[in-house]
Amino acid sequence: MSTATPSVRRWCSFRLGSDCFAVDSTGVVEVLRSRRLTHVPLAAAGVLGLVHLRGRIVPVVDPAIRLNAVGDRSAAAGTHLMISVGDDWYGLSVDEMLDVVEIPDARVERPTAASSRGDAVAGTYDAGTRLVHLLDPGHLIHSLVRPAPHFGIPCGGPHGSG
Amino acid sequence: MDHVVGDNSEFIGEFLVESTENLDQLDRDLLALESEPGDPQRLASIFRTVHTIKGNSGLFGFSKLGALAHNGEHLLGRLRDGKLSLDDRITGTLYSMVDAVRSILRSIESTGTEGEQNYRDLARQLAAVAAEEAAAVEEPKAAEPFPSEEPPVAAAEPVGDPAPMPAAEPRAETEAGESTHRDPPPPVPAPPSLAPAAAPGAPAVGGSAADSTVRVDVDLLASILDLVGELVLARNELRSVETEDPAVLAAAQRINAVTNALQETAVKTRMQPVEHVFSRFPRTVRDLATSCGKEVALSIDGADTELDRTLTESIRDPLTHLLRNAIDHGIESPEARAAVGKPRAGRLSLRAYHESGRVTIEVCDDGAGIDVERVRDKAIARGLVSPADAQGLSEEQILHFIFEPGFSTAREVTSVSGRGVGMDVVRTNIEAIGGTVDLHSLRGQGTTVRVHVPLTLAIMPALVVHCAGERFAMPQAAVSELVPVRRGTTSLVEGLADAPVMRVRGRLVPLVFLDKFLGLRPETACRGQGTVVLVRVDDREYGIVVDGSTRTGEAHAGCRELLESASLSTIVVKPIGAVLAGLGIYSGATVLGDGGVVLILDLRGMARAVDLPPIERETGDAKAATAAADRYLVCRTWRGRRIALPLGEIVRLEKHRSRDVQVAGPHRLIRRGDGFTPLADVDRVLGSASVAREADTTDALNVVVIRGPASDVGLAVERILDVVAADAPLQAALAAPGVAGTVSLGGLATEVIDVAAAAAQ
Repeated sequence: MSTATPSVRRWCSFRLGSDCFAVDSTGVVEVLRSRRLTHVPLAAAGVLGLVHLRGRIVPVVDPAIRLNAVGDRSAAAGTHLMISVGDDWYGLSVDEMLDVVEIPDARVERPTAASSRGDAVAGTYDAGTRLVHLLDPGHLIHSLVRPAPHFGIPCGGPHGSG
Repeated sequence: MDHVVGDNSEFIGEFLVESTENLDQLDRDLLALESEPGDPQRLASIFRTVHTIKGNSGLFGFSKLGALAHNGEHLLGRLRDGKLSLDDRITGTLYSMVDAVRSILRSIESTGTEGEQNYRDLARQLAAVAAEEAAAVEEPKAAEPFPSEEPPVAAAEPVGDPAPMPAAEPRAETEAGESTHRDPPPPVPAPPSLAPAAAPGAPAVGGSAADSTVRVDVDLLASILDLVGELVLARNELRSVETEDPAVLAAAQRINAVTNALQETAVKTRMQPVEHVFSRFPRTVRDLATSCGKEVALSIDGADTELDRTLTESIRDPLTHLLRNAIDHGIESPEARAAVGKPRAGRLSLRAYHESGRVTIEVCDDGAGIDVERVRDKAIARGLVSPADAQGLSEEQILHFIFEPGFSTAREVTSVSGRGVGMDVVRTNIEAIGGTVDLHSLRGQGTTVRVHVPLTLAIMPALVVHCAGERFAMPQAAVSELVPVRRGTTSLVEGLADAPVMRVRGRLVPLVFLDKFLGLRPETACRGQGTVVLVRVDDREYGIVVDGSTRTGEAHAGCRELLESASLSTIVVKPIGAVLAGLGIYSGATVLGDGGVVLILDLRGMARAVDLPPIERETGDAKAATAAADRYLVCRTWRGRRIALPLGEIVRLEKHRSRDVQVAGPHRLIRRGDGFTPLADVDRVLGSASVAREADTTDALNVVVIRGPASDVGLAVERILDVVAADAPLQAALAAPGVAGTVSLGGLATEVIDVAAAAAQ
């Protein structure tokens, strides 16, 4: 199992809708289940909320928005894959955790330039039964937490609606 | 430490930290030496510091620094050996050397190089001072009984010492010093890589201090604090487990106690004595006094008072400003002091102490005090207050004008102060860290400025409020008052042109509905029932409307509602990612006792986001009244006339349904709570007939409530347009029935209602 050489990396895979994605296991901090999130009003749509983990306040994001995940998402039971990006931690809200897969770098196919998922997917691996989309967490997170372009705050007034 | 080239940035970092600390010590030593020239301990300490810097700069190849330190060391060596005696000139030269070393170190820190400046002149001067005076003093000084056993030089030689030295080592001072080592070497030989932690900082008094302290990375302390926070949460979970097992209960009890103690201890690690800030001040004061031609004796008390290390840095500049003011403006020239029978040297005292959970730092001088009349005149001249109002202000209120931006009473601008920057910066900086400043002055006797700052920013008392099922925290320091809002009461003023305001003791305070502001629910639901949290940040005061009694759903006594809508707790502030901080409305987050994450509202950012105008800093009711009198509420009558009402005359604004208006004889009344308010039609006040309108279908009726002779009087208007500040004073010439005059509002001439006449109707 642990015959991983630098050219073979271990990826933590998970399901989003009907697709399978994976992040490099070295960046995985923890998997949290059914933790109540604190909603962040006015944050970018991709930010689902905040969760407390080991003394840090960690934003949890919804990768499905960026990754155009389709299919049955009803099973999304609040599983959060906590990953580190640089010095910061983020949580990815996923539908279901799958296995850790060892993937030789050589067998990763680079995405086509026209991919709708853009920078967020760094490559794809054909696991035989399914395709595993390998994520670039930095790009993914960045595109999700960017604040909405038009940040207008309504001034709360009783006549505001009239 | 065998890195000579390559990436030794880590070691350079250590070297910088160490050297900066040593320079502070050097400043202290030099000052002490001035009052007690020839103190061998001090001289030895200075020599050691300079020698260390020389050694390390050689190690890292900083040649300018090395040359400078080398010359300084040479001069110091002669002083130590009694070949020279300390005088002002030598001290001055040594101070210049310290400054030069400091600026080189700063340059190394920021750019990694020693910088452009060439210190050759200074080096020459050091050499010259060392050489030329040698002959002059040698003879008398030879008699000076210097202890024959050398002072303890280099008690703890730095690690850098065995490294290559600049070639021109004048004498074998190092070896000589070491051979007469008084302090024994540390009993446990530390591995070389750890040595810097304990090595050179040992002050001349008490060499054991170095053994009992360790230099620890701040990040490490922070992570310990985080982990303790986790433990506290786990402890809370454990508490909620229901069990009868006495063993488990006992263990839980113990864990509880240990956790509390651990949290307390961990918090203490963030604390740092204000000494770190104070230590530079003797030097600052000396330099300032010299440049102002004053004699100043500085006394420092309570330097061991502890403060969060993130705060100690923030108070440095404000305190420097205050010292500068005291020396330049406060303390008189020696001659002037002598003339009024004061000692020639002014007393300046700097005192730090704990007071009701905060740290107070007091800067007190025995100088001339502040001329209240001059401040008053200046305030009037600058238009901060009208001459009439100024008469009604107390001395204290007048003194507070000093904190206004650009306010200076200095007759002339000196290089030190008088350009009108200073006190407002002091106030701004102190308020930025949640502190306050107050000032007392007695003419002829001196001035005292007290700065109150919180102990720490990482842990603070906060108010946790509820709104639309969410909780938010706000720093308690900014919260001034909680006001319940209940349907049927009159405390909430509704809407000035879509901007809700509330009248609090004569002031109109803008309101922000938190639910609407944050988009928590589509419509503001807490208008009729809720709590207004009055907050004050910088120059802004506003109210945040949060939910009232959300749990019981029925109106109770006010205090009960407040308790349920808001609670106080001490929170540990945790940073949120740059992403969320970029929103500008959250300053961090915290974890409450139940494990829930709660966002901390950035009250300053909120004020910016809703674009609240800065309010005038009221210096008493007089000023508040004038401020309000210059602003007008602009309304439209049913006849389409644009009219204005002085804001100061308005009690509140209300909205009623037309069917609530009752007719009693010739009068129309509006039922409000237990009583009735007479209602006047604005068109009638203006001498025209009321417009026949379909009263029954027009649902909302805007009523401006003004103070009448007997009771409040409502003035029905068609629409409330805006609140505008007058461009010019009221002109009474164009008076008409019910009109007090005309005023220019936003370039439009607008009739101002004669409020007294309207109320009499």
